[in-house]
Amino acid sequence: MEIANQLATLDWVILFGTLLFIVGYGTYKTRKNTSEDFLRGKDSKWWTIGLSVMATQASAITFLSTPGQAFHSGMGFVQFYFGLPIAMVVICLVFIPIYYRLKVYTAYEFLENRFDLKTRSLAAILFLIQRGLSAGITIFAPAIILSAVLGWDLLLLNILIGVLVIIYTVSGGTKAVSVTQKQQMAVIFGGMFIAFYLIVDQLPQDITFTKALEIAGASGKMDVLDFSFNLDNRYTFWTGILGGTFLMLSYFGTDQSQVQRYLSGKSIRESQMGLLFNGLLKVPMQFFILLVGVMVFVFYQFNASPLNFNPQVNNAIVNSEFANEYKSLENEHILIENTKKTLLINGVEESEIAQIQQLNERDLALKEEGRKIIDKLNERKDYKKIESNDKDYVFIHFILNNLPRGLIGLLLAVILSAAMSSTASELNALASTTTMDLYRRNTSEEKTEKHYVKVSKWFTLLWGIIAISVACVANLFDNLIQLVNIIGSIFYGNVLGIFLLAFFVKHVKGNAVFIAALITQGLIIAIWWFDWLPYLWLNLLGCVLVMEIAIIIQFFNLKDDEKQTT
Amino acid sequence: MSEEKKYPWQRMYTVVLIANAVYIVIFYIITQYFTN
Repeated sequence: MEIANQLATLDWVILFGTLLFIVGYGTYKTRKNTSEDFLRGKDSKWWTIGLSVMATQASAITFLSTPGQAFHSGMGFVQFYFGLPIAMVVICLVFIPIYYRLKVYTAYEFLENRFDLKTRSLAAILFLIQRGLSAGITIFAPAIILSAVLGWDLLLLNILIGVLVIIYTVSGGTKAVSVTQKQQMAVIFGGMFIAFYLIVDQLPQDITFTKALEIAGASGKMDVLDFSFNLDNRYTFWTGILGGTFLMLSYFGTDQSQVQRYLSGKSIRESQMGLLFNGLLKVPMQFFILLVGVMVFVFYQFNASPLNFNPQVNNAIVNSEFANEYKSLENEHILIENTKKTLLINGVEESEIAQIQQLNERDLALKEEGRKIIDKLNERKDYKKIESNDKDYVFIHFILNNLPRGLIGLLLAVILSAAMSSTASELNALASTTTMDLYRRNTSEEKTEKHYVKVSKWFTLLWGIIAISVACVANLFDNLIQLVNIIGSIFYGNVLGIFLLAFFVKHVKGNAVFIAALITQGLIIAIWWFDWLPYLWLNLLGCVLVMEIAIIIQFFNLKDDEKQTT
Repeated sequence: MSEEKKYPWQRMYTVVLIANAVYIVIFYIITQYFTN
């Protein structure tokens, strides 16, 4: 908690200087925006699109959580992204040409062209519910971590992130989002490269980069690929290639927060190249972020680390009846750390690997026992609930305790820039979907482009306020982040199924799709309600169900039509 | 069908897919090298 007070003036200057520069730059660069720039942003080059697409997907939690994931579980998480390049190629080949031919502002406009107005409106509403909630969580997730670690006021932090984003998104629209995302990605990449260099630099003198990798390898952190068919293991080569392709296709192909990014291209070629840029760089980028986490792991083989990285844990345990029990776990953890330090000081010897593994297993067991104590504390009503899983706190703990002054400010700017870039895309997409798919389509007379820009600005502000409000009440719910993921899984599959029908099953018509989508949504909600299936599978089931039901309904419709004509 | 003719398979698609296949081969080598 004292760390916030220890932030040097230089940190504050760099942090606020970076954030205010980005907001000011975005507002200034788009001050002479045309209506087209605001609503669609039609002159982006491929590298702007590529960076914008990457910045939208990479939220603050990516940079807080991914290194922590590698710290605990190694590099295997990179497999989750193996389906992404395949999805990029499919979208370039099928989705983009059609969106361009129809000159759409939103992905859902295409559904009216292919099916009818009610199907378009249904898909747009499903998107608004899901994305409206997750925009709040994009703000809340990093805010709760930073407030826990730095002692900043959670409410103030939520409002600060939200307001900064609203300023340039309302003033500059789609173009402002793309323009600022370039600067944000520069800050993010710059900060992460410097952090990586400093971690390796702070290892003991005899530990070269190769030796550091060997230490990580001996501790099981370098197992990148897993070809097993074990369903209990979430990240394997197969789930990445099969599940990943499916997920990325629905996210990049049908989610307006991404579609809007690549439709801002100067030409179809620029849009395609932007997505391919993402397809080329995404896997190495995730690999690099995970490698940062692995290097943090190696760093803590030679430096003291807490049993649990969440600072709230220690504060709560110290004043509870579990203090002694937890203290004895901590003492054993320190003993293991010291033994490992002596063993690893000259790198890994073949003969020591078995002992290192044994020590790691024991340390892991201690952490697990520590978590159980926290969970026991969480069950008590007189204690505020604390996150016992500390993976989101590992990297920020390292940053605050080991980076030099000034760089702490830069890394905090990285985290807040990532939060702002994702939120900006979400607000921009929510406003354009509300304006184009609901407002414009349901008002009786056609208005000027200027009118729609004005309306879109008001909707951006409204969605910004909704997002901040969701972020502010989020900590009243125990599992809000999971709830948002569940809501996403309930709707995502259905929407992807509607798009796949539109692209690939030409004989299915609007009525069949609309009825199938309603039946599917009802079934998926029932399956979730009665807890018949883990929620991640609802994505796949929703997609398959809507396609099958629509094809069946269309089959009987055709039969009826044939009977009537004969 | 007309879109398929208008926007055919581009060389960059192959480049992206091959590059990612190369990444996976590199990851395989890393995994093999560091697995005890």
